Amino acid sequence: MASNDTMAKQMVYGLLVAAAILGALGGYLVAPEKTVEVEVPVEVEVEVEKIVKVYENTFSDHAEDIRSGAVDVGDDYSMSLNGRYHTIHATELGLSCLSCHVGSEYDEETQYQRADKGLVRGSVGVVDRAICLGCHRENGIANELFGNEGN
Amino acid sequence: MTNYGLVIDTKRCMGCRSCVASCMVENYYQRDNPWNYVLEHEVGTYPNVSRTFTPMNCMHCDNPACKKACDNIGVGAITKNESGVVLIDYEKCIGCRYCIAACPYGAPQYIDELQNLYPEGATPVEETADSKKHPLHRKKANTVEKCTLCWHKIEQAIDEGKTPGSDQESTPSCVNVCPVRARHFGDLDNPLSEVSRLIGEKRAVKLKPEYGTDPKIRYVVDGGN
Repeated sequence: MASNDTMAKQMVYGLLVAAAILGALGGYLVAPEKTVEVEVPVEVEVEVEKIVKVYENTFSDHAEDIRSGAVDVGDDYSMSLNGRYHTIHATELGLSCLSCHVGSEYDEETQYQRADKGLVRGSVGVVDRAICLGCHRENGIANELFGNEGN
Repeated sequence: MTNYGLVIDTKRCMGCRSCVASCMVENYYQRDNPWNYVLEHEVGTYPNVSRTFTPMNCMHCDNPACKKACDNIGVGAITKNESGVVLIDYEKCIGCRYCIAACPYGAPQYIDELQNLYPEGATPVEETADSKKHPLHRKKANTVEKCTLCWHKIEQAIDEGKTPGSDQESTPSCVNVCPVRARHFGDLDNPLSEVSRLIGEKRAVKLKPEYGTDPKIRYVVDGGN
C-alpha cells in the first residue's frame, strides 16, 4: 500500500512538473514582443549618415552638380593631372587611374604605323574608348559623346 | 546636299603607305602627327599566317564625338560643313585635347610645338607665309589637327563648278596615289556614285558601329558585313 502511495505521489509530481514546463513554454510562445531601446552612439550615427549620403549621391547626381557648377572643378580645360578632365574623372568621381588606363601598352587599334614604333607625340595615353562609352553614351549619365548602337 | 566619304578596300590594300606619304606632301602634317596611317595586323597561327592592312584617317562621322566634346565645353572649334566634312578651326582650338579623348578612331593629332620636317632646316613649304596657305594648312602650336578629306581641293572644285572626285585635282590625294585602287572617294548620298555602288556590292562596313558615330569612311573587309 505504501508503495502504491509513493507511486501515486510520484505520478502527481511528474504531472505537475510537466504542466509547469508546458505552461512556461506556452507563456513564452504567446508572450508579446518586447521593444528594446538602445541608444546609438553619435559617432555611429554620423557614419551611417555618410554611408546613406554616398548611396544617395550617385554618379548621376554628382555629374549634374559638376555641370551646374555646384561643384567647382576649375577652368583649366586640359589633360594635365590638375586640369578639369582629371579633376572630374579622378578627383570628383573617384575613378582610379586603372579604371581608364587599363593597359601599359597600346593595342593594335591605336596609332602605330608599325608595332615597334614609339608613342605618337602628344598622345593622351592608353585608354580604351569603350570605357568612356559606359557613361558618355546617348541618354547616359554623363555628357553625350556617342550615339546609339548601330547608328 | 552632298555627303562625301571614302570606301577603303582592305582586301586590296597591300600596306605600301603611298596614301600616308601623299597626305604628308599634300597637307604638310607635322612630324609624328599623321593624318593618315596604316594599321598592320598579323592573323592566323604559324605556319598559316598572313598580314592585313587597315588605312586609318578621320572618319568624318555624321555624329562626331569630337565635335560633341568640343561643343560641350563651349569651344566650338569643330564643325561639320554642308558637304559632310568635319573640320577644325585652328584659330578657335584651345588645345585641350578633349576631341582626342573622345574619338574612338584615334584621328585627331595634337601639336604641342611646331617642328620642321627635317632637322637641317625649314623646307620651302615651311618657310611659306601662312597668308599664302589655305587656312587648313596654317600650322599652329597647341592645336589639334586631323584629316580634312582634302577639303581645300573639294572646296576649289565646288567653287569652279566641278564635281568633286571627277578628276585628280578635285580628289583627295590619298585616293589619287593608291596603286591598287583600294581607296574610292565620292558622294555617299548619290545612289549612282562609285562609293554607293561599292557599299552595296561589296558590303562595305563602318568601323566600331557600337559608338553610334556613324562614320563615313567605309571598309570592305574579308567576310563582308
